Amino acid sequence: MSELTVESRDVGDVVLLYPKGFINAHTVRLFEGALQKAISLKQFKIVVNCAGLSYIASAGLGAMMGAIEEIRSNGGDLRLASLNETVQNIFDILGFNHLYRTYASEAEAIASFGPAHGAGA
Amino acid sequence: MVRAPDRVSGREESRRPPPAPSPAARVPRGRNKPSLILSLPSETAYLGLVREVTKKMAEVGGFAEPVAERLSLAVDEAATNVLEHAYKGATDREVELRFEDRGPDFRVELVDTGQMMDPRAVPQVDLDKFVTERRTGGLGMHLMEKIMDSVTFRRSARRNVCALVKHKTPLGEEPPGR
Repeated sequence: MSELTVESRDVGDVVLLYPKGFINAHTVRLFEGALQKAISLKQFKIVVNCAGLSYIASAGLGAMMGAIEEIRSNGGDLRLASLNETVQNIFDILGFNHLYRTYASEAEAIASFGPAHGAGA
Repeated sequence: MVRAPDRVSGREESRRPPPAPSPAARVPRGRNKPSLILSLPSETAYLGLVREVTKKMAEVGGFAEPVAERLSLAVDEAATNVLEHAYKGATDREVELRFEDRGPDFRVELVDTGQMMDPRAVPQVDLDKFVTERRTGGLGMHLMEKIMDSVTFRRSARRNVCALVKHKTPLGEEPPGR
């Protein structure tokens, strides 16, 4: 089994990323590549579904930090769904909950991009 | 006279980097158990192993699973720092991990022969600046300091030693976020 896979699918103008495995300094390029691919395709509404993500180190958090300004400056946002306890705890330690919106489910994260909510708000 | 080599400073220095070693582990005698010394090649491919071994050693040392998980993250970050900053990506070097369970403390040391890292040179984390200035460095050090009770660096016999210490607390008394 590989240490990380990142599948993606589109739901309307929202792109969903599914990292499965763990993100550390060894596997981060795959995750970074998925983020950059979405940006290069001008898909700036991104949901990272973390249901299959067992663990994330600072390298993975840095990849998100490195992409977030471009995403938001283009009217989009990077939002997270279905974080497990370990990943949620890492977010809490760093105070990332103030920087990224997190949702209990993928459906809620997608719905948050609805017109009523305003993209990137 | 045969003298037992000092575990940090007694080794002979080599001007050339050692050949890429194979992962090897040994359990030192006469130490408080559980103790373990692990030598790994300086490749990011081994970071997953570092995390798994750290988590297991922490659990054996009596930490609850969520705390052991966080300790493994701190050691992963310390090892990543060695690979990126001390060895600057060179994959033909060696990182030694020493786990020691000393009474009320769980201690992990990472030993490398790369460039000395000055922890004072690592900027303090300011999350707002991370966004506006697209900074991504310093998060690892920040995590280490948040998770561990003590993070220290020292230079000994041309080796860098990063020591991570976590005090044991009775189950249920772990402060939130630590």
